[in-house]
Amino acid sequence: MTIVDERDLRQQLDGVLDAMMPPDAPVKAAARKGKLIRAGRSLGIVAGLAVVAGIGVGMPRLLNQPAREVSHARPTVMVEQGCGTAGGRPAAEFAVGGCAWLKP
Amino acid sequence: MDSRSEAEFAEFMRGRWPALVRLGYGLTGDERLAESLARAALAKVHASWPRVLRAGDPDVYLRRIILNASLGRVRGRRVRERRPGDEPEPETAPPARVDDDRPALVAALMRLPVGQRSVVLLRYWMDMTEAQVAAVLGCSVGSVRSQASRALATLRVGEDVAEEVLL
Repeated sequence: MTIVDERDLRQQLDGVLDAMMPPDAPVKAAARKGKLIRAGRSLGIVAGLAVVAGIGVGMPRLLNQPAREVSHARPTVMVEQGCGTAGGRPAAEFAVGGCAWLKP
Repeated sequence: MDSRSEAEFAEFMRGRWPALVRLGYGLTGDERLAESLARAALAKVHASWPRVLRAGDPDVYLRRIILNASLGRVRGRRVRERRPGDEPEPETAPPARVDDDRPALVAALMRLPVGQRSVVLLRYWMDMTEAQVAAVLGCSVGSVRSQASRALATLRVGEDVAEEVLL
């Protein structure tokens, strides 16, 4: 193969590529695949809209949920006398409303 | 699409098909792959036919699709083949096999990076101007000029190397 200049390259490309004889154009197959691509796109748009609608409906419900009622009952506080701070142990244990605050 | 649009598309496809397959062959060096790329490109055009017609130049759109598909194929192969820590490879086709029965020019084109190959085919085979090539490839005219120059230099050097090997 010898390529001298641009003109030569043009001629060689013409010679090689124009000599190739492709089969008949598969019009029906391309159209069928094109329709599938379009259907896929439409499906994607519908799915996207459904997600957006879902967020639009669900988000306000989540945000506007009423707060849980706070109990105004006085908690019972129990204090157990410990055995001092010897050995790094706490001096006392507390329980508020039956839940321990500190465990040795 | 209505029947008139379908008829327009069929006429467009029959008119572009041979050149599109040849372009695909120049890009891939493989006739069957070229037909497959051309078929996929035309299917994409069919899917957006009314929009493509409104945009004004279906040929530019069509060429861009097939060039991008070719570039994507090379990149996809590169990503699949590369392992972590490997050096990146140039966007070229695998080296020609010993039993390669492709024409010498096609084998030489396959040794070019896909960007340069695209420029060579659009500029020297499709006779497009540098500005038209830049529009199809989405790059500057300067980039087209430099890629064409590098490709020509590589093709000349490749020829010298081939002759040295034969001697």
